[in-house]
Amino acid sequence: MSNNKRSDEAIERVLNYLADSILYESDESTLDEAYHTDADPQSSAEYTRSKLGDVSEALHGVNKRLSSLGHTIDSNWQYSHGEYQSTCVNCGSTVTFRTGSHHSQGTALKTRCAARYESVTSKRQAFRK
Amino acid sequence: MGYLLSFIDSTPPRSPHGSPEPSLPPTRAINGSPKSALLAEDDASLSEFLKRCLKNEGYSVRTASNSEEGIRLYRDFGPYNVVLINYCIPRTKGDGINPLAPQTNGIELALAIRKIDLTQGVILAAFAFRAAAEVPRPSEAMDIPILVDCSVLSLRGMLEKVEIDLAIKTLSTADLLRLRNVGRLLIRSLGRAARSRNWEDLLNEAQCRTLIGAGDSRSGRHWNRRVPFVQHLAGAMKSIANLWKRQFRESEAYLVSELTIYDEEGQEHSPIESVPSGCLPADRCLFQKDEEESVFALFSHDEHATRVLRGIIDGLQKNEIKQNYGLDEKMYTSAMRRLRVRLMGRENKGQ
Repeated sequence: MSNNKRSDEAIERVLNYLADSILYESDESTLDEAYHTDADPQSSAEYTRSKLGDVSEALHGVNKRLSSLGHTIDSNWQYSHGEYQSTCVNCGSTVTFRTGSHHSQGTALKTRCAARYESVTSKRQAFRK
Repeated sequence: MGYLLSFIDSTPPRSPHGSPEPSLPPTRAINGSPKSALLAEDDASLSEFLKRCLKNEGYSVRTASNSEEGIRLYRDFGPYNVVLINYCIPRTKGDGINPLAPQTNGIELALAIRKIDLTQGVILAAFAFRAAAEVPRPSEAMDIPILVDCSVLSLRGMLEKVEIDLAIKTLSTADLLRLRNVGRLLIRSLGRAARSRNWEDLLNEAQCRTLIGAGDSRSGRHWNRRVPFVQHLAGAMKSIANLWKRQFRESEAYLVSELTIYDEEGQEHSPIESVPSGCLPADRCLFQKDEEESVFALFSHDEHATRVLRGIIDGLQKNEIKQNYGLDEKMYTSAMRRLRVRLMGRENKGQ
C-alpha cells in the first residue's frame, strides 16, 4: 500500500517541489533560467501580463455594463462548473461570467434595472403631481 | 528577491529548501515605502472615518480637504497605492459646495492625477448617490470605480480590486516568468487531470477567482495584501490545480484498452493484475509508475539530478537532500535548475 501511494504521488511531489522552488530563485537567476526554457523571455513575460490584463479587462467590461444599466450586483458571486453567477440586489436579474472564455451573459446585461427604473419614474410622477 | 509559496487557505508556508526563509517584506508599495493612500475629502467626520478605515487596511494616509491641495500632495508625494477622492470636494480652501450646481471637482482631480500617472489607482467616493450608474461623469472617467456605499466592507473590496489592477501593471519581468513557469510545472503535474487545459487556463482561473471571488470564501481566492501578488497567484494556481486533480479522480478512470500492453508475440497483457492491492486505483498507479520511470530516464546520465529527484520523492527537504546525498549548495542549485528546465520543456513561441 505504501509503495502504491508513493508511486502515485512521486511525480506530483517532484513537480510541486520544483514549482515551489521557482519562487525562491533570485530575479537574475529566474531571467537567466528563462533563456533555457523560452525562446524570448521578454515577450513571454509580456504575454503573461497581457493574459492577466485580459481577465481584468473582461471583468471590467461586465461591471461597466451592469453599472450603466443601473444594476447593483450582489458581491457574493456563486461559483459552479467554471462559471460565476450573481444577481442584482434590486431587481433580481442574473449575470454569469465564465472563467475560461470570459463570456458573460444574463438578463442583467441586457435590460435596465427594473426596480431602479420604477423607483425613479414614480418619484418623477409624484413630483409632477 | 525570492518568494514563499503557500496555499491560499492560510496553511503555514513551508520552505522546500528546509530552512526558515527570511521574513517577507510588507506588500510591495509602488514607491518602495509602506502602502500609501491619498484621501481627498472635505467633510471632517467623513475624512476621519475613511482615514481610519484606510489605516486599518495598512495604509499610511495623507489627507487633502480640497482638489487643489489634492493635486499638490499628489505631485509632491505621489504615486500612492490608492487615491480616494470625494466626488463633491471643493476646488479651493474656503470654497463652499453649491448642491444645485454640477459637481466636477472630484472628477477633475481624478483625471488630473491620471494625467500625471495613468496607472494610478483612483476611487471616487460618491455617497450622495445610490448607484454608480447615477453618478454623472465624462466618458474618460467611466472606468474609475465609484464607491457609493460608505461601509468598511465596500471600501475594502474596492481597495482590493484597485490594488490588484496595480499589482498586475507593476509585476516585474522576473515575476511574470515565475508565474508562467509555476503554471507550466503545475499543469504538467496534473497529467490527464489537466484535461487539455494549459498554464494559461490555470493562471486565468486563479486571477478570475481572485477578482470575482474575493467575497466567496469557498470558491474565491482572497488576496491577503501582506503577501506579494506573485506569491498569491502562485498559491492560488497550486490550490486550483489540486482541486482539478481531486475532481478528475472523483469522476474519471482509465480505459482498460489504454493500459493493455502487447508482447512481441502479440499476446495481450493487462498490467492491472501486477499491481498490488491497496487503497489507490490500479490504473492510476500504473500511469504514475510509468511517469516516474520516464522522468528518471530523462536524467539517467545526470547523477546529481537523480539524487535530488530521489530526495524529493522521499519527502526530504533541501538540507536533508544535500546531506544525505553528499551535494554541496552549488551542486544542488545546479541540479534543481536542470530538473526545472528539462521537466518544464522548452516553449519556442513567445506564448
